[in-house]
Amino acid sequence: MLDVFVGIGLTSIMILFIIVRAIRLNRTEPWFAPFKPREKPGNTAATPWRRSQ
Amino acid sequence: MLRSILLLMVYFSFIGAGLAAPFIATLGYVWLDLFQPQTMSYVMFLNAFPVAMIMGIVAVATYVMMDRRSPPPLTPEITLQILMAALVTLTSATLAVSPLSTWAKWDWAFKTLLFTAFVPFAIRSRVQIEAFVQIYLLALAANFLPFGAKVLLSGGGYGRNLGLQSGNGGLAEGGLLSTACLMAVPLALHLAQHARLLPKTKIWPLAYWGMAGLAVATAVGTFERSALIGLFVLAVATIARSKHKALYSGIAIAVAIIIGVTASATYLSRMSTIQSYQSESSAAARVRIWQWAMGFALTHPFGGGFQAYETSVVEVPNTPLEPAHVEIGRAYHSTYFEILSEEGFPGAVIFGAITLLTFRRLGRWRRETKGDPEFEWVASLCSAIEAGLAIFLCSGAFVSIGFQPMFWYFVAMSLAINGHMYHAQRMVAPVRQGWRATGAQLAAESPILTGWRNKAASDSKPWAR
Repeated sequence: MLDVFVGIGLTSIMILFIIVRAIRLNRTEPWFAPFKPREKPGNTAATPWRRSQ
Repeated sequence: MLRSILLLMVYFSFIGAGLAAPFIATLGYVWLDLFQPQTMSYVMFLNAFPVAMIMGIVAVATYVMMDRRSPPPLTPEITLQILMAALVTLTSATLAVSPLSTWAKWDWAFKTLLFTAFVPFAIRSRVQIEAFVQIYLLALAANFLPFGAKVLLSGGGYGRNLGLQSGNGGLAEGGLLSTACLMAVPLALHLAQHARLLPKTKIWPLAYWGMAGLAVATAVGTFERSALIGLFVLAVATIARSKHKALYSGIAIAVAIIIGVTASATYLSRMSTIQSYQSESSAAARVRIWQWAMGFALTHPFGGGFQAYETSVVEVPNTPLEPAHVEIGRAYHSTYFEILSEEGFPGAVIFGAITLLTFRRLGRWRRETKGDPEFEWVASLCSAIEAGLAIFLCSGAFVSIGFQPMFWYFVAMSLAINGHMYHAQRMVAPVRQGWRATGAQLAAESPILTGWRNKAASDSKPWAR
């Protein structure tokens, strides 16, 4: 009983739910949000004019 | 019959949805690979047709025909995985010392290596990565939920098969099951915090914590000594990376007390043999087979192909429980000695390089995304994968699971994150070449910008156009 209802039944229903939600969100949500890596502390190579300030 | 209908429904859902959204077929292959419904279905279709091959073909074909946008960068890990696939084929074809059985293992190991190298191509966005983690966890949960519940209700036992699969292979083998369960715990804890595919209610985090608890119960219930080592690594890794160190430390202590108080004398006496391995014949035989594997690797530096251990002959010394005897064809009981003797030093170097590169990549993205609310899920998932890999590397020292899919799926997840972040970075800084690059750099570095130059420099949101 545990095998069928918890092992297979519960996980199968959750998998079907995940499939439906994943397809829907995959279509509506943007794939990539913009990301800018943090500058390392003390690295002024990207902003050279600041060195003279 | 009910289980067969459910399994068939899930299988055809993956196939049907995969034709509309190709990444779903990739998830379907992951489900088939880990859950193996073929072994537990009574309906003709699932156990009479090559269902995994069909799913694999649908996954690759739909990706190639419909979904080749935003491919990941070619990383050394993917190249090394393909090299490993070529190496295992070469050793199986030319160097195998057990030629009859080597191809049986090659059949699934080769597919695992190639398919996990393909995964980062199909799994790229946040939704797809989360769906991958969810399906990975649920495919394993099908085994460990009933197993863990039975352990809590009636206790476990060494060699007792309480899961869905029967026999002594795959997830029916205690060493693999316990390691796979413990590797899944950090993923469940990650989903408890960052799942977006499920509606935002308070039930789901509790459900994931429940899953993690049953995974731990399963690992303990197998009575595997490697599981105790895995549990220790899980506790250390979770506490080290958590913001709530006191809470997780309390949970770890509570779990240790519960195991200590409720575990049977059989469990405690089995665990105590970790310290006194000389007095227990199984542990003593392991040390002997590791010595044999090392000697075999020195005489066969390019490996002896899969299942080389079948040619092993080891003398097990006298122990208080068993007299001295000779064992033929003793399994390695170690991932490292498995890879070293089967694929030789080239295989060991490739495996080591993939492991190191994966940790380095995960560490990089974890550090760079930490504190960014938009990418907090990346930092959390990187930590979870690192913890899972650490468990694999420590428990795997006592179980031969080097070519089982768990490790390779974790590598694939790290590469999927890398591909995602590769594209996310390029959303901010579109690649410009020639005079445009020079102009853009001058504009970005200029302290005073007016007019159109100011507009061009501040136009750092190309996705908004």
